[in-house]
Amino acid sequence: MTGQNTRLEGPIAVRMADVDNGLIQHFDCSGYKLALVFFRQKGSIIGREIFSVINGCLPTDQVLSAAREMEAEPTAGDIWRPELRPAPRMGSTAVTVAVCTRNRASLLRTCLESLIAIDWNPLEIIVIDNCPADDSTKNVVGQFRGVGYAMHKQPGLNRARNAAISLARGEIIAFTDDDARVDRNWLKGSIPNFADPMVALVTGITLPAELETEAQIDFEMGTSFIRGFQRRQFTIKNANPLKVAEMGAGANMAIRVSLLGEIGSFDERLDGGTPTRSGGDHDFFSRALASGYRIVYDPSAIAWHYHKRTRDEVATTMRGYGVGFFAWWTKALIERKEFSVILMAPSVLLNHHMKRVIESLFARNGTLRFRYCWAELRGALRGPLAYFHSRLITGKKCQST
Amino acid sequence: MTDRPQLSVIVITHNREDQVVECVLLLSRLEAGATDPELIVVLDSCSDRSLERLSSLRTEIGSRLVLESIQANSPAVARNRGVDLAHGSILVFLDDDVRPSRELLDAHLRSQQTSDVVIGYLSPGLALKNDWWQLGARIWWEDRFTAMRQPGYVLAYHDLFSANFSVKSSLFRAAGGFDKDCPRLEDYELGIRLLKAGASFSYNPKASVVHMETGSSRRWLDRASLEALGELHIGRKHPDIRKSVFQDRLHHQDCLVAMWKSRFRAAAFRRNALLDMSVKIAGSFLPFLESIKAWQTWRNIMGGAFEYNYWMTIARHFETESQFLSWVDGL
Repeated sequence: MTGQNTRLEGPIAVRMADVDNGLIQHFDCSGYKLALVFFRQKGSIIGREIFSVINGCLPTDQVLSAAREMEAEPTAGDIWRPELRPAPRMGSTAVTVAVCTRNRASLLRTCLESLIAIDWNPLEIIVIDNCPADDSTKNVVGQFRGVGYAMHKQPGLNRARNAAISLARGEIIAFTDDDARVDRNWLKGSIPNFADPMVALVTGITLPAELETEAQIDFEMGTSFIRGFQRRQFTIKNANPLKVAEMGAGANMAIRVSLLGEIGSFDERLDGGTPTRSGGDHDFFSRALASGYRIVYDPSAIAWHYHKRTRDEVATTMRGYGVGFFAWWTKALIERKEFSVILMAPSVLLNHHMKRVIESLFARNGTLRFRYCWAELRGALRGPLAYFHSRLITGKKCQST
Repeated sequence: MTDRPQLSVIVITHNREDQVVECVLLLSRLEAGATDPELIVVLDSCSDRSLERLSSLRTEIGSRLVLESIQANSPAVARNRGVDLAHGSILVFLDDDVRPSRELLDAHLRSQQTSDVVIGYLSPGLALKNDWWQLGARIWWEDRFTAMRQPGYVLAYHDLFSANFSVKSSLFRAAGGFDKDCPRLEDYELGIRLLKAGASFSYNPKASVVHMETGSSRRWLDRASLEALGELHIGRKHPDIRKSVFQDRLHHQDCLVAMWKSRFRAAAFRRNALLDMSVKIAGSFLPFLESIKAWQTWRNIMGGAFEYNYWMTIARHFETESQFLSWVDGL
């Protein structure tokens, strides 16, 4: 096994091992020196480990022993432990699956291929084509029978999400991104959580689909979408609505539509396609919590994300995260009177962003490269301005809360 | 048709004229069984216009609406008085601030065919949309009922909520009714006696009412003391289940929470006047903390102050903490 605190060199094979029967299947890892293996037990991801590849294969004995150490333990006091949850009844819950996309037809094709293969019968699959430059997305969607297409001319990821909600006929709307593909049991993992009437939102685990480039490896090791391997529940009783990053991401989330009247829809001044670049999902999570509902993070709802392949793209993404996060906090302060932002923002800037920048300067093991940390910090400083800029160009009337 | 009603619905009220009038009006429109249910409203120490307004409903509802005024300041006494006046073979207890669903009485009646005690669903409504305490209370209620819906869940005494349950009249009377000496949690205490008498419990989510949550953080802190007195009373009256009554108060799965709980307990038993004052002052800051959305601080103070107030009440009845712990252990 290879320690995870070293800067890894790619490409790295990404594999998933099902460990229910105590056996490890053979994995072909030809062409790779390393493999990142995710372990799945009873449908849920329970851990990950990096292995050296020997003669194009994984060392089965090492993988097996790692699997044995990762016995999944249910969260104490969790009345919704997977074994106590009602078995998913196929088709009993009307689910709309929505993908918001913009000029990424080839990635969308992979996403749709995974969606039509899921072990669930969703009421509908809708693709929202957001401000497209050409007909390529429409043409790809046309090749998938039963997949709905709608174009939304105004740019903005949250606008597209709201458009999907307005079209959805399901009780639950499950979102994934166009640069992701979902596991066959994706909805089987997330939808049963809605049997609890207080659950407004379920997020799943988002794993890397590939680690072929240094940039993808950097992103995964430094800013992974993985939020742990335990099912977790968040309410205002145990979580702060201003700290929602640990609850998941918009690339893999399902929402109870009936609660949107209370929570509000996605804020169209935030996220991709606006000056704020991201933060739209976090704003929504925050409002769901503040409305008194429960968010569940369930590692049995699995999606795979294609990270950006070049360092320039990753740096841009990181900057976007910094901008979006502080734009959302600015909104929280200005509109929702979340005055604790005043105390928390300097602390996050110093203890998270500055610390990462300094650590990356000394190139300590396991740290993100300076370029990305610097981009994120610059984005964070830009966030409040970006929020006001977005407000100005989108108009206050667009606000959804 | 017989003259004797199958169901007697007992509502107790205290100075909530709007809520009780609405509740009774909605109840009067419900049908269940061969005869119309009897509606008994016991007005306990009311100084508002409840009696006057309810009396005016008699012309609409008729003689099956029975009104009784008492000066007891005790929910247990008021409910028992309602039972004294009841003729039905099945008693349905409701709070005055509930909005009954159309199926409520019918669902109780149907479930009474197979169970002695039927617990109904209290769908929590919020009087104040963004009040943190009320949001937390809604989660607490929903979690309780969600747990009850799970297959294999065994209903316990603490699942009996007097705001919406039904019981066979003969069983209730044989058990001796509500304990008037119980300062709070009299429904839990009744649940213990009913279970000991061999009563079968069931939960029917269709027997539902919307229960408006009107509490506040301040009122909740004040109620900590009553909770403690209620649990002490139960512990004294039922030594065989004393340990389980205090189980959740004394232990917690989270080590950090458990540590803080034990610290508050120890502090309360030391009876420090300065600490008492500090807790009171900290509690008075809760509305301010809520207004500036200081979630974490609000939660910490709320939990700590409740814990302290609870244990301070317990400490008044025992010399030392270890004496209390020995008592819980039955030593």
